[in-house]
Amino acid sequence: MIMHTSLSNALRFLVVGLLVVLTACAEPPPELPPLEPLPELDLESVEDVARRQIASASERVEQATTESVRATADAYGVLAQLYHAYDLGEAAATAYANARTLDPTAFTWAYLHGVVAAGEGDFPTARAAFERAVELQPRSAQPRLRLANVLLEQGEAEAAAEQLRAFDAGAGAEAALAYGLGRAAASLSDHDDAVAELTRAAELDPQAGAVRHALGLSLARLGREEEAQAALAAGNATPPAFPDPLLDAVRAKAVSSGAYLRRGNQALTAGDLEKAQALFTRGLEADRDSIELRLNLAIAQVRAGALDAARSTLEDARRRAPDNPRVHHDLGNVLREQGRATEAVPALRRAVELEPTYADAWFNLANTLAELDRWPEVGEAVARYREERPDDARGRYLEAMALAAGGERPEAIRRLRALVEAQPDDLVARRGLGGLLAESGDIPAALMVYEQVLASEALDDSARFGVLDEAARLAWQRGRRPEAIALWRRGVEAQPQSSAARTALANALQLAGQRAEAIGEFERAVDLDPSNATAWLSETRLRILENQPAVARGRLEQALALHPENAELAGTAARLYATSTNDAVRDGARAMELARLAYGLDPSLDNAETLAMALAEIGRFEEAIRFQTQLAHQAQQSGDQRTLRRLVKNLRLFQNRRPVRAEATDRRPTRRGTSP
Amino acid sequence: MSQRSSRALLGGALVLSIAAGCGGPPPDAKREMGSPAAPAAQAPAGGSNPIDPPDAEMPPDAAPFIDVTGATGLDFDHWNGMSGGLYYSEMMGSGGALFDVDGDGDLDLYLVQGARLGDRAPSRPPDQPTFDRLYRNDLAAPGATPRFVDVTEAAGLATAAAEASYGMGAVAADFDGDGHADLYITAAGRNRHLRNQGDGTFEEVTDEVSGIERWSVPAVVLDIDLDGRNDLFVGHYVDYSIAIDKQCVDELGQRNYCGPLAYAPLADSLLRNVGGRFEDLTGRLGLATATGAALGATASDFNGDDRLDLYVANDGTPNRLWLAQPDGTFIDRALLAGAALNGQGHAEASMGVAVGDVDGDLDDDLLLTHLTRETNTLYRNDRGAFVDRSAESGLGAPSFDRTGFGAAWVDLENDGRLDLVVGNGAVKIIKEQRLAGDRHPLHQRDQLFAQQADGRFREVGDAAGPAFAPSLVTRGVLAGDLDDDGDLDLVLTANDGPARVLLNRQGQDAPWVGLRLVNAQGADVAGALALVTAADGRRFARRVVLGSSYAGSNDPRLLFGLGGDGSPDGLDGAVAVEVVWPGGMRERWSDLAVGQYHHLRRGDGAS
Repeated sequence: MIMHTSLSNALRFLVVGLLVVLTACAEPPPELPPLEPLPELDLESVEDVARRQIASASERVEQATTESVRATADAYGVLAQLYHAYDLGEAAATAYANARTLDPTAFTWAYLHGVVAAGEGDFPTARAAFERAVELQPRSAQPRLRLANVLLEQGEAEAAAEQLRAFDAGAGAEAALAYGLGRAAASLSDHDDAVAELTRAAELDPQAGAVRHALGLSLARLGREEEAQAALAAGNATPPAFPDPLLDAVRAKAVSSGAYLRRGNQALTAGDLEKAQALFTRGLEADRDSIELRLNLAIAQVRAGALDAARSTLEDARRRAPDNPRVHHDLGNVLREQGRATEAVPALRRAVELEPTYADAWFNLANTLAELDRWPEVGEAVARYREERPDDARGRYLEAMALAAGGERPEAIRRLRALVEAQPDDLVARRGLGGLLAESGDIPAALMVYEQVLASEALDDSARFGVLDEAARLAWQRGRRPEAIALWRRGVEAQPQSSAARTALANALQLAGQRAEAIGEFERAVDLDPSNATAWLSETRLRILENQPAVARGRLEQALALHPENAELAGTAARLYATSTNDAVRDGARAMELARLAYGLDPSLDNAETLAMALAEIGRFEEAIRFQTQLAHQAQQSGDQRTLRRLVKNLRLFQNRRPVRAEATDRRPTRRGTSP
Repeated sequence: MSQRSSRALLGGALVLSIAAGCGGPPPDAKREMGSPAAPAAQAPAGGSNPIDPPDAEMPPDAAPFIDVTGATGLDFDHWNGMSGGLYYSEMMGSGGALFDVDGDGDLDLYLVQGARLGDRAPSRPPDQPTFDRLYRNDLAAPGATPRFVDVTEAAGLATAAAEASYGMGAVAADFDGDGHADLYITAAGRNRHLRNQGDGTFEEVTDEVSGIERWSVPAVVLDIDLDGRNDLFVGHYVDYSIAIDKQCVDELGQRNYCGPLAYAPLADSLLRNVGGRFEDLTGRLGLATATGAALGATASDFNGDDRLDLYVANDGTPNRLWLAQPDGTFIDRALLAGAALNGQGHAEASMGVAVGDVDGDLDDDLLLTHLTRETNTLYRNDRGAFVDRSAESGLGAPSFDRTGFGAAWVDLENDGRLDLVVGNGAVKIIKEQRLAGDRHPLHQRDQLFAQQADGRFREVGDAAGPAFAPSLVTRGVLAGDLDDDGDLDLVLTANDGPARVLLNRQGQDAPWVGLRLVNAQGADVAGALALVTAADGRRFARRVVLGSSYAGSNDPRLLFGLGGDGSPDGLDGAVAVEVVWPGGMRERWSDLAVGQYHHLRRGDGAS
């Protein structure tokens, strides 16, 4: 016991002694140069994860001041990066400034200080910081590019150009370099040089809309208006990208849900849907309850075409926030987009129940109901919409449509006339008016309205073709065939690269008996869109009718290579090969193969007859006779005398061991009936 | 109606916009989806703007402007109705109009008020009933301090409709041809039309004349069909209501105001005065298909063809330059003219627009105010071709850390060079201000820029004196000669704070001449241009612009500073004036004495 006490005391003395020695040996706190005080920020209301990050970094600064100057510099730098990441610019600038004071040789702090100062509009500080960064790393592209930007903002274009000419940009920064030189030249009114540099930048980074905009302005100054207009049509202000790993690392430090939301929105704006979805999803990991993140995730999913995923996201949001009208509204829209209009209606109804003044929800409800032809309900919904937005043209249009559906077509026409009078550029309303006039039988007035729609410069080519097609059909119905064909010709002019436009024209020409021109249009239609099987079929049948069996055969084989499962193409080819008077075209074996295929795909009377013809062609007359006899019995039973006569005629040929020979196909034309 | 035809007809109507909201992506051509509530966070408390002491005390006499608000009796306190809901409309703020309401020759003042928003309890009750205010200027003599008397009730303007209206801007012009200036008030809701009955009272004639109910901010007067009647351009902002308010958060997870791209932009309105009422010609004249979030607008003849064009400043979307065509329609040429986007191709925030001949080449240039992290933009005009000269002019860099709203060209010293006043105040909560416990964390200092002899601008900074020292949430900047002493004074409106009157203390000592260009009824003629030739041969161009800045309308009179750089020739002698009336008719007046205002009536000059 005594020994134990003695040992214990001895140990105590040893520990105390060690502490004394350690204290005596410890480094004194480093002497720090005068530093800027950091702003006092009340972080109570800040999202937890961000507050913890900043608090931890602040504590590290306190601790580092007892260690070394270098450690303190780094601690200030790390804190500055967090402030920077969370867009607390003034605080970040102060912390970076302190880091630079403590370690003037650190490139990172000088560069990032410049970035923050420039972002805060403190261009003198930014300039000094970038100049220091350039001194420290003369071969680094980023500080030079940013220094040049600051100089341009300060109106010192010559100095900016000097900076940019002083280095050879590395891979990935060439476009930014050329853009900077172009901007500087434009600023000095040297538009020839500007065009040269900016053209180079545009070639290096075709996605950078800012380059093309600047190029367009310089071209305009040089009087090159057409080129300017083409360049100015870029539609975005994205400057040339250049790699900036330091800044990327800073941005990545913001891991709050709010930060992910903002970055996700930026990605969404830039059209990077995959990145947007990833960022919103990461935001949800930080805040499982966020409805906003879910709504924006759903938007990104919709835009990416992932409608099932969007629905799932919104259903999740609905479980968490059953009283949020926007959730129901968006879910309704997604359901409708999926073709589930019936399910969309209750979701949209719930949105307006929760928020009776929710105009968009009323409108989308009305529109969805219209899609379902539930016009009395459309009228109610659109009336509520118009209470909220009485002047909105879409509401006035839909209201008129509801009236027309309710039997009040004259009143609907009157209202649409008033609407297009007030808003002549409202092409939807004008087109709707044309449709109602056509339905009321006033075709001349309808055609006149369509002509007014077509006169609009706001109509894009696709819509122009749609209107022309509608107008042409109306004209055709009224027997005004030349006028209709002229309208379809304009459709082709509006969309010369549209296979559908050429097919529509060719169909009309075919029905009007202008076969040669129709063949040409069908041929161009399949050239433009080889998947247009209808055009292939029409073209080849017309060629057979026009006694071009050899050409027809070649085209049919091309078509069959692209559409091997198309029964009509196979049947047409089989009939041609089995019956052609041209020995070079006729091919019994191939006819048999295709006739079987066609009959297998579509066991119609046409294809059955063709199969019998093919059997006869290869000399299998007994089978042909049996098959043809069955067909004749069926025709007899159905009372179809015309078909029966044809079948009996060919049956007699088979019985005389003769195959069928035809100069041209007797199959019906591709377009059934009398209308294109 | 058959199912087929109904679907075909509805095809176009189904195209709506998806709005991601919250500083997010712009709407695209899809169906709209809203954005939901964000986690609750601390909202700013209501109250008047905090005022910081100036950094450096200036001798009061040395400052170009002094704040005489108290002495004038102006007691207008804007109330934005904020309640912690961070509703989008509450941070916008309003402006007003300077005009001569009673025909006594001096400038009176109409200021536009907010109103309650939604059902939430406001953070502070309004100090006054929330109708707009009309202040009559009882100026004792030229050079005396203006005396503003609140005549709102006497003028019949203290109505229930006025109290409920969430006003934005105002423009004054004679719309009914009786020679008295009427008022058109834009609003986040239903715009209002007030007829001046000539006896000091106004009659609300909104329903009879023009009832637009879309969020509107700028209104500009012009005679589009040259029939002598004043027509109206009304700029619309976004499709917003409390019901579809979106809630946005910042990187720190705190609630903040959304940006304009969270809501669908609207097409503007062009209204023709057909005598007693306005006819909406928006579609017929070509404007209906162009949407944009308009906050500023103005009119001038930008391409020198004697027709008045329109310039519309859109928030976050390309600006429009509607050039008037010989057939009366308008075509937007902003992109090719270089005035749609800044020099780097950005569609900037474009809150306010100031129009004036900055470079003395006798055509009107444009200054646009923008958001923090965008510089204000100076578009120098060369007969319809614009060049972004923000950086070179010195106006760009100093504005990078401010959010500008109202702006006005003001010749501070009457030296013939236009200087610039910009009212600043953020639209997004400034995080550092909030984290420092600030009650209304949107405030910034206004700015004054002096044009130097080389055409560059220098920020006056602390030398602008105590009047420019406070950090405020300024919105409207109205310029006019309030004390009739021959220089331009200012009325600055604030969001959720008091309006201020700043008197110019420098310009009156230099020679000047003032013009009022009027029609036969004595009403100001919007768009009329005066070209003044001073005794020393210098020429100046100023145009009657009714509607500019942010949500406001300046003094309709034209003021020409003739001081120059000490050239004695400019100091005395008379000036010659050529007036170009809308449509191109020219008249001349000679031997107009300096140091006074002249009324030039159309038809009285020499052709």
